Amino acid sequence: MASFLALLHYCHTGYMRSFRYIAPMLLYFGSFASLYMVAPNPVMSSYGFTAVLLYAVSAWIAFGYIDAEPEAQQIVTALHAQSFLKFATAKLAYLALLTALFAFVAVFGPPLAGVFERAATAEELALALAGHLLLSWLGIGTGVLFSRRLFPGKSYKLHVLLLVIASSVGAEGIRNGCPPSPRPSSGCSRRSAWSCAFLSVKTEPARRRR
Amino acid sequence: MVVAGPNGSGKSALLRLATGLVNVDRGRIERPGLPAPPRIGYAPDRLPPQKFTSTEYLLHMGRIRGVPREKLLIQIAELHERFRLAAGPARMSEFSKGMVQKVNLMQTLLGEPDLLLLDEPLSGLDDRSQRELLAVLEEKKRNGVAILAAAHEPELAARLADRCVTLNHGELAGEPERPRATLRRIVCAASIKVLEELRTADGVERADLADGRGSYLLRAEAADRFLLTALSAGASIESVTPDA
Repeated sequence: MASFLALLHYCHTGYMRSFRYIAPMLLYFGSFASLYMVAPNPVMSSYGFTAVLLYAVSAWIAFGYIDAEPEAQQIVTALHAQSFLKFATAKLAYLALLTALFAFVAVFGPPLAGVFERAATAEELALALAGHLLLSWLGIGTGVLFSRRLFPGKSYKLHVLLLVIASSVGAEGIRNGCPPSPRPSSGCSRRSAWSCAFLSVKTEPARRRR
Repeated sequence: MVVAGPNGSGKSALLRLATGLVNVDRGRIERPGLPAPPRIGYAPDRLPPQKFTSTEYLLHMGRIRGVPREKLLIQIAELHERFRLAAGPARMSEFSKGMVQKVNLMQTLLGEPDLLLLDEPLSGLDDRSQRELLAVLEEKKRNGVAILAAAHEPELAARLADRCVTLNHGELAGEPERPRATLRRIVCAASIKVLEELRTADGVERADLADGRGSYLLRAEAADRFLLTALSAGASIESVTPDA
């Protein structure tokens, strides 16, 4: 346990001294401030916006952090930890703790500052916190997916990551902007059952709009 | 063991593979069944300079290894003294290549490693620091620490290696004879107590004691000092010969 805490301390000190957190932090808290600059704000849709923003920022932080330590140093650190699994877990735990801090500010900051149109209920706060935390973990997972180890030697990986983040954030808009899919026939064969189910889900909003 | 070979022959890759943290593209790695995994100290060819002072960096690495803080602070102070590196407020990112290399080697010695993997350990060190490092490694070797080093310098092989191998394009090119000319065999007669004391003298690699005589195999550069020690302890020198 002492060794794990030492790893977390090392991760934190190294990251703070790298200043790689400044740009994503500025984006996050800048957007946060501009959202709540005008009060009052609706409760859940504001939380929805900050949760999605946290997903994108978490992916950015994770992408910048996971390979911040040069490869040779990663080997040295993992050997001192005597387990690569412990070393990798500590890095992910550090990212989760860092983004949890962002989540707590996003969930409890607005009610404390009194910028909502009404007081948020305990259920809403719990739901908002769970949503922020889950989306931050999803963001971390997305960012880590493009690390040197899992996505080696590709110069375009940042572009792919940006595409993944953009398509995740704008999924609803993309789906609504797509032309309606042909309605599946009622008697679709067993072989195409999965595709029928997929199509019926995809065409749902389009039919609702009509 | 010392691994020699031209640039790009695969020495560094071999050492990284020996850490167990890097996968092979082809082939397989055979690991002996050990009761516990060895504690490995690894010095890469070039340690990337960190935004830590040398003390901070060593403290982090030692704490991650699980060494208690008080014990670690003592060891870090000793290592700074031994490697003649001032433990100042400057960060490693401001260090010269030689200074970073000293920190690189110091971090391998934290805790009690069972195996040292050293990639070009003498690179960037001045003569005095090279001698000091070789003395430290000899001490570690005597204490049972296994050492696998990639090196160009013949001194490392001559003073340290029980076995040298040469790599060429990732293939084992041969196992050259260890440079024997650097060894001396000194035979002397003395009391058992004196002969036993001489066994632990600096530079002695092997000692065979029998019938009031000791036959010591030692490095050539340590021979004069050994002779002085032996004579002043009352031993009678019978022969000094280059090792065959």
